[in-house]
Amino acid sequence: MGKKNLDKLFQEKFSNFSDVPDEKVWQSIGASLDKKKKSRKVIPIWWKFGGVAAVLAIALYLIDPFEDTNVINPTVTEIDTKEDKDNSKTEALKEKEVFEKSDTEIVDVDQQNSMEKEITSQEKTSNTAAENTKNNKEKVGAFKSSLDKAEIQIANDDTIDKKQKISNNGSAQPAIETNSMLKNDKEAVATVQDVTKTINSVERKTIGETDREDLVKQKNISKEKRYGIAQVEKNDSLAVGIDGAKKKSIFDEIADQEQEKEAIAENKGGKWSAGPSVAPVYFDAIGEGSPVHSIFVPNSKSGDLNLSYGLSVAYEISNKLKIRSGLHRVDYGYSTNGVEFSSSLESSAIGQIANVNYSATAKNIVVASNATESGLDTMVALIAQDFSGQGLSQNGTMAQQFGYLEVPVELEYALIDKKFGVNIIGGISSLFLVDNSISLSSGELTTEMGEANNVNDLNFSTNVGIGLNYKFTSKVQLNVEPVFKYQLNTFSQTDGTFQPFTIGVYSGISFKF
Amino acid sequence: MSLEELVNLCKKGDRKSQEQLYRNYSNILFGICLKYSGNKAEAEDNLHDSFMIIFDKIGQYRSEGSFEGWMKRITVNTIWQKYRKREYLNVVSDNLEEETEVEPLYANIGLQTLLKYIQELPNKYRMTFNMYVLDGYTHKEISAQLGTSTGTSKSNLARARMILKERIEREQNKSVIGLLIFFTKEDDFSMKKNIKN
Repeated sequence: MGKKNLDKLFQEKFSNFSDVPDEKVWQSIGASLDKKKKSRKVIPIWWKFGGVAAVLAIALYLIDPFEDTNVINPTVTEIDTKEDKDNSKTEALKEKEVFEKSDTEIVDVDQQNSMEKEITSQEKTSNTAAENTKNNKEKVGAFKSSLDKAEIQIANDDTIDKKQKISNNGSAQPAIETNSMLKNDKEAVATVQDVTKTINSVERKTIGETDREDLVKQKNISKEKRYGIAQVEKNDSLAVGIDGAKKKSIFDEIADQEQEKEAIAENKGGKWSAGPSVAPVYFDAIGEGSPVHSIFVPNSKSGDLNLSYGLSVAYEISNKLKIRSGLHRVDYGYSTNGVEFSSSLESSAIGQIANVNYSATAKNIVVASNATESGLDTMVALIAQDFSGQGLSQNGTMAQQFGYLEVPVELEYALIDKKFGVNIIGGISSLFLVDNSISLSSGELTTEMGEANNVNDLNFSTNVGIGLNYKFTSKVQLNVEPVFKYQLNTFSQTDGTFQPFTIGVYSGISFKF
Repeated sequence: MSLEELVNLCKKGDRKSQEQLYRNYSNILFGICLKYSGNKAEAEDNLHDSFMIIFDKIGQYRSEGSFEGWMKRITVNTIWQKYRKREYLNVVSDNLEEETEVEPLYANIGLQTLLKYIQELPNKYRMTFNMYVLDGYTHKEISAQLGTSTGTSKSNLARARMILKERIEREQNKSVIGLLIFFTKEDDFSMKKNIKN
């Protein structure tokens, strides 16, 4: 018979070949579809959680509800203020008459009267500045009220009156100077308002904080600023007594304050920080048992090195304490060594391991431990009578892999909080199972066996670690954190003791915002 | 209900439509499964898995080609994917052996017997023979599908043909011997009858 005849024979016989499958096939498909529907319902919940976490992280980044955005601006505002003040001060010294009206109003403020007295001499000016930097709360309160009044008065300052007054003078030069002065005056008013805003926001913020020192410093600086501005307004009374040296000392003082302020602003980051992290994770277990089957108890097991990656978010409760969370994808795995496996032609329910749901392609695989006396040959002889005896039994390892989505909740306590920081970390993680497989390997051959059915969908771990960080800037830092995680309930049932743990060195960069 | 409506409802996961689709096409696909699988039980498993994939991927069907063809391809592919891993365990020689021409014999062999012969072929041979001879794939398509070279595909086909031929010839010889025995016995019987008479 030639190949054409053979092909023709089969083609004729099998043209439009069909057959009616047993009804149980549809029943089985229906059941599988139901099962799939259920599992589909479960997965999106975790995706939703992940989605919510991601949205929260982005939202918190974009709209920071815990910080007033004004806080970021003070430095800029202050620089402007400084310049404005410089200008207005110079102008004020030259054009004392122009200020007569506003001065008269400002002089009404009791507190300022006392300030005037202090400012009448060079030393006293700097002394006052120094005194103001002290934590004199009453003075701050009084000063604030005086400034408020001064502000209103300045705002109410009738520039038209001033212009009239200038025109009465009839001289061109003073008029130009006065006009520039008016500009400065307006700028000064604007500055006062800006500064007041800043002060309010700073105060609001600092009151909410436990950082007492910062509060005092911020207030003092703000007070200095107001004081400086108040001084501008009352310069007529000082004008005669103030010489160049005096001006210099005031500027120096302001410059010092600016520097101080900037230094404080630099140290002051946001309360939230977030960033990616990645870690090599070593998985191993305490105990000699096996989560797969009792026959593997005597076999040696070796942990695998896997990868964990994700996003970490931290909130600063205080200077020393942070609470942190995030979402990480992590794979764990270990191998059971000394495993023999082979394939039988018929599916054999007898030889299958109860803790494993065999994949459709692996139903014929028979697995045994060569560490036990009843090796594969015996099993195969019992189970697979028609086993194709080509010496197919393979010696190798059985690798069990689990993939989780990890949501940690940890506290981080700072032991050292300098440029280089050291923290201790403790907390728990919730691990949601997303991947679960058992495979067999022998040399280059790897075949999938199925998945373990005794792995819990939700697992917890207790985490302890040490965090090392290096601050590149006040907002960006590098973290390296060796963390030990002890798994609490990875398996619903194990043969012997098998308590998994993981050690990972989590490294990443976090950004404060 | 038109096929398009049925497919659209299946895309939405409507169970009644899924069952209707199964009823409409399970016979044809089960025929494919029987040809490509090692036995009936495996064929049923493969039919199950193929329909699961069909229902899962039906959203990806774009009404461009024949829906039946699309389902058939999925079925063949599903079966191959399942056997692929197992193939590593079954070492098959890829040496091409020349065919020996045998005198044509009239092969009056039943469909079920031929099906049994096909099913008893090693997986790779069965896949290749079915794809090439019964379903009209080219060696290039087969090699792409099975991840082998066209040379291997040709070799597998030659080996499959050889095995099938041997089985058929053995069957034929059995039939001939059977007939001979039958006729011999008939002759003996008639001779004995004649002697008696």
